[in-house]
Amino acid sequence: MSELFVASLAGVFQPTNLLLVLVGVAAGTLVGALPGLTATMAIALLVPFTFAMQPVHGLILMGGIYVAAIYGGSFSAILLNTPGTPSAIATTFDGYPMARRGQSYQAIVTATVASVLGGLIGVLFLLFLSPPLSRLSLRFGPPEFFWLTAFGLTIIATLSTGSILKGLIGGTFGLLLSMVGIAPIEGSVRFTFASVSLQNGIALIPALIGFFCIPEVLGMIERKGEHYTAIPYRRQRRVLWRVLIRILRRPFLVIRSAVIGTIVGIIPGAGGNIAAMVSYNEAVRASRNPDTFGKGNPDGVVAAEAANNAAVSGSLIPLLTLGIPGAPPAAVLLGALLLHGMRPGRELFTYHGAVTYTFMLSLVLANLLVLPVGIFSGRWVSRLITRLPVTLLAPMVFFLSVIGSFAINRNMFDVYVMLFFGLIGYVGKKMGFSPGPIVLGLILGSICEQGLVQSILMGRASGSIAAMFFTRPLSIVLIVLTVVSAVWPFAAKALRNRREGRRR
Amino acid sequence: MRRADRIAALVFLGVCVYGWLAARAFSPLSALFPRVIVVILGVLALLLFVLSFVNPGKGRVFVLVQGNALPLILGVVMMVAWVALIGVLGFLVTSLVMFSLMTVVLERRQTNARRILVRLLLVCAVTVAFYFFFDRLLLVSFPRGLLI
Repeated sequence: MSELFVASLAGVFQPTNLLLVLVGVAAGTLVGALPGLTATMAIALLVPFTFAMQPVHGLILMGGIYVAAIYGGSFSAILLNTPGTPSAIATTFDGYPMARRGQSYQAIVTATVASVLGGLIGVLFLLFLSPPLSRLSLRFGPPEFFWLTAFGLTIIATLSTGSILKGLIGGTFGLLLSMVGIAPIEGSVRFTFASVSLQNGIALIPALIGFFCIPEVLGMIERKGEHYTAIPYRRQRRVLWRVLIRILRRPFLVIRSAVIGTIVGIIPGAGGNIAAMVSYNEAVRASRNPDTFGKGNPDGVVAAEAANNAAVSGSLIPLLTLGIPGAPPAAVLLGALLLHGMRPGRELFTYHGAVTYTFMLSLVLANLLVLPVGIFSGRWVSRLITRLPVTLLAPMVFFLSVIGSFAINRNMFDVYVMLFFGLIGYVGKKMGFSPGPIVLGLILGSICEQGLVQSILMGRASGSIAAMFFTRPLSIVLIVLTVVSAVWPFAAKALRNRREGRRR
Repeated sequence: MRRADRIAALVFLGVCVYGWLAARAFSPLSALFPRVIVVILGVLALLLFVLSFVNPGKGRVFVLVQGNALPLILGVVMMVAWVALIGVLGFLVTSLVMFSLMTVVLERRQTNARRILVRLLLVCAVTVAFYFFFDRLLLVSFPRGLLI
């Protein structure tokens, strides 16, 4: 274990890997800063480019992009009041007011330092929680996997969209899509509309590219008349030092935000946006001056940015150990892992241990590199986000989507799949159905079905199907979590209504 | 959003009916999971349909396109044409034509000829670079067509 760790640490510092981390961080910062381009989209487009690379190189590049894109969203949040990625929504609350009163550089530096510290704390959790969790995953049988996916789906539905009902419908529809093709047990050909191309099921990467990229392309075209005016960004001396001292003097804020971010990131389906919102609310609640939040309090920026960057590593914990992605970008990373023949779970920490540990350690480096890249490229990035023409960007993203969906199987059918789900994703988004739950349903579907059917077969063989589902210790824990997560939003709403009724 | 919710609910109910009927042809264990999911989806869609009548006036107004719909319609048509033409003209020619066309069509009216020329040169350079990277270096053979 320690030998593997040391060897992986040495691997991270190989010139190729260092270069890939740097390229990933620079590209991710730019992608995140541009409104309309998300981390999920960037990683989805990158997956096909990595299939000719060694798995470790591809993962390092995608990890760098993931980390930096979540951070990059803070640029447009602070300078334009438009979050570059959904994770940066909470950053606008105090970042933009800071920029408006002439503190744009302080706000960017605060976001950068908080992102680095939050990200590093998140990676520590990833490094120390993943190996024991992967050992625990060996105790997971079909009933546990069934309940784990059920838990994931209830969380996805309740946290990832505005409407719980629409989130649930999206997730369930995704499960239905996952059944297209040959059934894993007994082998019936299902929902293929007599198409041979659909017998292998819906190809994951083209569907991901479609759901996450095409709605963004159409959104760019729709908003092409909009012009962004950025607040000027000027570098000032000693700001970095002052910000660093300010944050480190009260370390509890950044530690609490990072822990919240990591925990929310671990929950399947809940990404950086929810992590940042929860962390921001807690920062307001814990503050002695809650009235200053929303008016340019740097603590608001720290809370949001530390949490959303910690959520990056948090979302990778269930992905690497159980194969359950914690957030949409992690779902795309799952596609990349499978593309390279790496199945999440214990095998990833033993047989593929060198690759996995190198990847995890490269995230430490990626988080550290965010500091110089963010500080030194800030001026250039802030100029670019207002000048890069949508008229060029939209066709460019579509062009890459076509290449990406074709290149994996060298099959035009996958391009049709990408476009079909892209158009569905756009219309669905307009109707309030977020693509996140659909995609996670699509990914979790086969795990959920195998868990259900195999548990029934095991139950029949052992004499009691109910006992198989409801009496195993790990299953009981997961059932309780599932019920609580399914009931909690409704109970919280009822409690809130009752409290408001009493006040009146 | 009420009308959109009703349409969405009816579409999902239609999917459920199809799913239930199609599952009759599957073997028992292959049909189990689809049936469970179809029932859950059906119940949720029905709930969405009923709630769209119960909460009149609540929620955002459903707008498929904000402002001028023409660029969006053109965008969708060009995307569909792009994908459809790859099989006829080949990947390289289609990409060059459609990438350029999309860039020009989406450009604002008051743009000048020099800017368009620069963009078109950029489009050609990007397309050819990606084509050679994938086709020649990674040996991903893109579809050939009438010309190349």
